[in-house]
Amino acid sequence: MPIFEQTYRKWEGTLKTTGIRWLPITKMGIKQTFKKKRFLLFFIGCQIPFLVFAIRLIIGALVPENIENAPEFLKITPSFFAHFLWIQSSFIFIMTIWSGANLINGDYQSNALQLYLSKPLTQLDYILGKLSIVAFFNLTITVVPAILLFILRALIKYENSWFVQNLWVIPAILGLSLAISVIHSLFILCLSAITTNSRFSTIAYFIILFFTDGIADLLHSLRRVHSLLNISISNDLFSLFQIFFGKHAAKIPGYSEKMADPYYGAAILIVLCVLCYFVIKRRVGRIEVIQ
Amino acid sequence: MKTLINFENVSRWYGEVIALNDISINIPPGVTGLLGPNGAGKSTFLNLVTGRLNPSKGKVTVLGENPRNNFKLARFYGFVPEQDAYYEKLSGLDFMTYMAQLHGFERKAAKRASMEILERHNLLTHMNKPVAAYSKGMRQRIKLAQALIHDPEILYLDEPMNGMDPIGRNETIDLVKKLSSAGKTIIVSSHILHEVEAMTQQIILMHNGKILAEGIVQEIRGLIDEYPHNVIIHTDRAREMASQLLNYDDVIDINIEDKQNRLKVQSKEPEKFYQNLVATIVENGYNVTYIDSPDDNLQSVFKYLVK
Repeated sequence: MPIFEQTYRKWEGTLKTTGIRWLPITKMGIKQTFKKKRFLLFFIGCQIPFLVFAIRLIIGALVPENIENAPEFLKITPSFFAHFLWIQSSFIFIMTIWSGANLINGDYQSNALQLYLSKPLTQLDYILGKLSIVAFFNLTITVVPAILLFILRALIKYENSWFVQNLWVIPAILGLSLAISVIHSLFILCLSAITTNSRFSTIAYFIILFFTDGIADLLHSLRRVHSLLNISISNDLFSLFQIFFGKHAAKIPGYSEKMADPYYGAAILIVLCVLCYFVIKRRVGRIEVIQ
Repeated sequence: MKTLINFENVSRWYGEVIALNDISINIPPGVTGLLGPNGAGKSTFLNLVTGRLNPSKGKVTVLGENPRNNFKLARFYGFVPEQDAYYEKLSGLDFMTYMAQLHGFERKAAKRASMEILERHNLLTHMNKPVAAYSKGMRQRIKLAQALIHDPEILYLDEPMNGMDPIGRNETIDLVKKLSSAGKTIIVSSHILHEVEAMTQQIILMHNGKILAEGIVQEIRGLIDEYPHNVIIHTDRAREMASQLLNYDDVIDINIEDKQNRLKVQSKEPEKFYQNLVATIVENGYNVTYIDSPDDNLQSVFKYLVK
């Protein structure tokens, strides 16, 4: 039987940490979200546009180039990929709510926050871990299928000129998907941090997006000032399409109605993201006081 | 003597509320009881040593380092919060594995360490059940286990025996003693003197954010014995249990609330009372759903000390 000296044993190793500290939080969050059957069905449903676009792409690739007056939708141009992401961005809205509405307030309810913060994690680790859960789901319905479509086009009909000419689409897909995913994730985490349950954060998310949309439309129709469209957070998010896809974004069906100023939009979103981060950080670091 | 935790003129206030008021103390290795009623500043004390709070004034060091935002220091301590803190839908094993992974264990090592610690806390047979299905005692044990999974040098226990049955209390006391023998430093906060006394003689007595006394358990014991110790019990046969408990010499008074099947017992010797209570429950097969000791007797001692 070991006999211990009844005193403090000094740690003789060096203090060091390995790996990505927040990764277990993300893995656990993804695992738990996938356990929800209805979510799983929705997740599968989100891939339907991918199948539709893949079929469109195959047909488009098989149409001989010399056919005149081929329908516009069969042409595989950068706007094809922008259009795909445009459609997926409406799924992101629901995906964000489903995967993120209870991420922080759920920890308030289960008192888990104090456990997290007693582990070798910083507040930033905690926030990154939670943020990555929502971002993961959003990216799986945007960047993954969009890149697959690009690869599919290259495989079905490899043309060096098309490939070289459109190679910029890959970073555009990555940048746009990442920006939209992270912004939505930060918004929902912020609302989850300031509300006490997922229902409140969901309602708040709806109100903020639709309310700002309504106000922007109303003011724009009254004053006809283009920059008023930037009041809408949805319009600001949509304006990112112009930043990443340039003139090709304008070819997305229905996009022109939402065409807010892209640089105002980006600036508003950056400010909102910074604000959300500080709100989350403040709420996570908050200590309940018993008087 | 070596000092592990050092407070140098530390004050902490929240707005106009002073939670800790100019505290200077050195905590040596071993078990230290942090004793005081609710609102005494015990939780603020623990929040400062775990780095969740910054002192408003003064300096806190743990193992010679500032604990604030010092995530590396968390490898050297384990924290058992007062409230239940877990994901109810997870199984005991999944919860423990997750906690180990947060400490930086790789998945396989985390699972192995979890099973070992669950075995040590008699939870191995329940490891696949969701935590939601655990009894109060099992929940307390898993809460304790998560704090020990990385074999920390220091253990902070915030009211570890709240709501525990007598058997669970004894198990926890034994475990604290074992950990202490293994060289761990343990800070245990409680509002019940005899519980802390069963674990250590080294006590810090807190009241209204100040340290009233330090390391004088016998003296406190003498004071507290002048006041009856209250125990609240919820059981299926309150009247029957009351009549049996009245046979014991240490029991001074019993109040019965029939509608809630609730007993409020006053005893002058809590240690003896708890021993007798366990024997009575086991012999008669009472279904006891709740046992607690409110801190009103301790309040009397504090009133006396601050006069």
